[in-house]
Amino acid sequence: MTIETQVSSAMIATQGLTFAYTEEPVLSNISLNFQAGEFTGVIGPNGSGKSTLLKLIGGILPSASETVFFKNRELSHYKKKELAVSIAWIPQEKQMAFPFKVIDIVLMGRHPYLSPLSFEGKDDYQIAEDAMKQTQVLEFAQRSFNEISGGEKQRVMIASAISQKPDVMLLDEPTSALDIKYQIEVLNILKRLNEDENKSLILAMHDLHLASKFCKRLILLKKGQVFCEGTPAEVLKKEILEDVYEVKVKIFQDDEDGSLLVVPESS
Amino acid sequence: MSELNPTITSSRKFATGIGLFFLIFLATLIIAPLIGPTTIDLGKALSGGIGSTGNVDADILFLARIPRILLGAVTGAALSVTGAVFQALLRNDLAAPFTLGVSSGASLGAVIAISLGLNFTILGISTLSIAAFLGALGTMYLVFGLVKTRYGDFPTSILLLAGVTANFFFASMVMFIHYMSDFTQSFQIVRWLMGGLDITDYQTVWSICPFVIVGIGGLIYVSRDMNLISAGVQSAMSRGVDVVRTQKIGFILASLITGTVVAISGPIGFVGLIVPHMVRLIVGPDLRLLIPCSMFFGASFLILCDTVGRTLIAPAEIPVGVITAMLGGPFFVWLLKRQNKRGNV
Repeated sequence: MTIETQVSSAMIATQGLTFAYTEEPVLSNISLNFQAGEFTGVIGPNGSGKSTLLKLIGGILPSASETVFFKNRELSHYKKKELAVSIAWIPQEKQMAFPFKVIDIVLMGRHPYLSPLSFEGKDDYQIAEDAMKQTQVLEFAQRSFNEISGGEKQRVMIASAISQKPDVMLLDEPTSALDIKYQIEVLNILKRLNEDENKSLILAMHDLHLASKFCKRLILLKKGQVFCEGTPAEVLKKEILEDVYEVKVKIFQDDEDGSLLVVPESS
Repeated sequence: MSELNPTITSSRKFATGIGLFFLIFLATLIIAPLIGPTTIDLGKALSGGIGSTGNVDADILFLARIPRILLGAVTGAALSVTGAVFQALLRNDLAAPFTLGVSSGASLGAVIAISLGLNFTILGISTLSIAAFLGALGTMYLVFGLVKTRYGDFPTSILLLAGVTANFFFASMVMFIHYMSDFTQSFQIVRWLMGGLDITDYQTVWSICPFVIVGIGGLIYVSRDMNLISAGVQSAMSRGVDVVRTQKIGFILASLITGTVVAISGPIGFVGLIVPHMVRLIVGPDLRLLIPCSMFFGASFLILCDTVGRTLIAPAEIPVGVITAMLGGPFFVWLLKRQNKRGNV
């Protein structure tokens, strides 16, 4: 209870979050606040702990006691379904072991609202249909998930999360496996969710240009620690990136939207 | 208008699927008793007088064929449902009680019970069943722990290797116990290991029914949770599934029903592999539909295999386990090849 009064008005907060799969810590002493309605990108080199951080915030990996808070309450104090209607975590799209249809996957987002033996009702179908319209996958509703393209899969995963009706959506590298057309499609959907429906978004991202183009705030991780955070312009600086990524870079700016393009130097 | 037809609600889709497979089951149940090496006169058989009244037709129908068919139904249903559940929880369609070594674990449990002279019943429950259940559960625990990676995946290669290893190990343990046991026990073990549905009576069938019904009922209760797990463990967690609890319930109940039927029918392989797969092709991977449909189709499938077994080279009989293995072996190879093509191995 004492901790709860200390915590700020942030929607999600981590306090001294440390995590290890084995002995080597993947994340150490992470203290971050995420406000409602933010569009945040988590960036950093491979193995810097981006995905792990998202999983801890989403309650998918168990954190050490009392370190991750949602609305001032520690995650472990929530019932699993209670948390699921607030926070959705969206993995990178991949093949399923079984031939689920797209509509099946989207309806799975309704799970936290259903009691054990009940079936999805008309409301659930309506919500799923709306979600699929938003991400433009309604036409694939009856197709097998495994047979659609990577970009379509990612949009289906997002539709499933939308039908979960969460406040916060965590996306683990939503664009990494996609070509540029689908990258922009997916990010525009997320941008609209953020702007029109005030969803809080936290994305783990590889592509620094897309991160600067869409995210309002960036968190840069290095070896499991927060190296720095701020607006894209504050974080994507030559000296910072050269330190973190251990490569020489040039930074160009897009004149139209001010987004930054980070180009590694070949030697 | 959209392609989602909101007038076709889930529940109606489910009722249709389950109804279809129930009808198949019912038809098998009615026709199978009429088929056999001896042609029976149905009118005479139904005219009454069972056992030592000289009504041979009635004796064959009611004392030989029907109990055997009922045992086949319960065994087939149990193994098929178990297969569907293992496949979902391990996210791999090559998982089944036989391929994972769970059936042989149950066998080992039962053989140990026989060798210790523990072949009796407590409160109507045979100690063989309890030992087989513990054997099945122990194996499941072992294989699950061995195969699971840090990311919660179950790679096919390791899964199969673990199953093969478990099968070899338990088979040699069974052989060892068999070798060390005295003549009476040795005879009991051989009879039991040969398996099959032929030596049975109504009493045996009724004694295993409650476990199988409770087990399948419990699995249906957690079927939507298991659906989400079959689509991805971490996504399931994010959608509010208590994954650890669901896995525990699933494995314990699946082991319970496997152990129960293996204790009576002996090891009958591949039913749990073939049936869920065929049913999935028709009704899809949703366990709320797949479990009840596999239950009915599994029952029909094993009755059918046994009917073939007892008529093909009549008056001699082929044990039902031989028939299922002859169908299941090639089927398994086909599945493996298909997975390999998709790059899942």
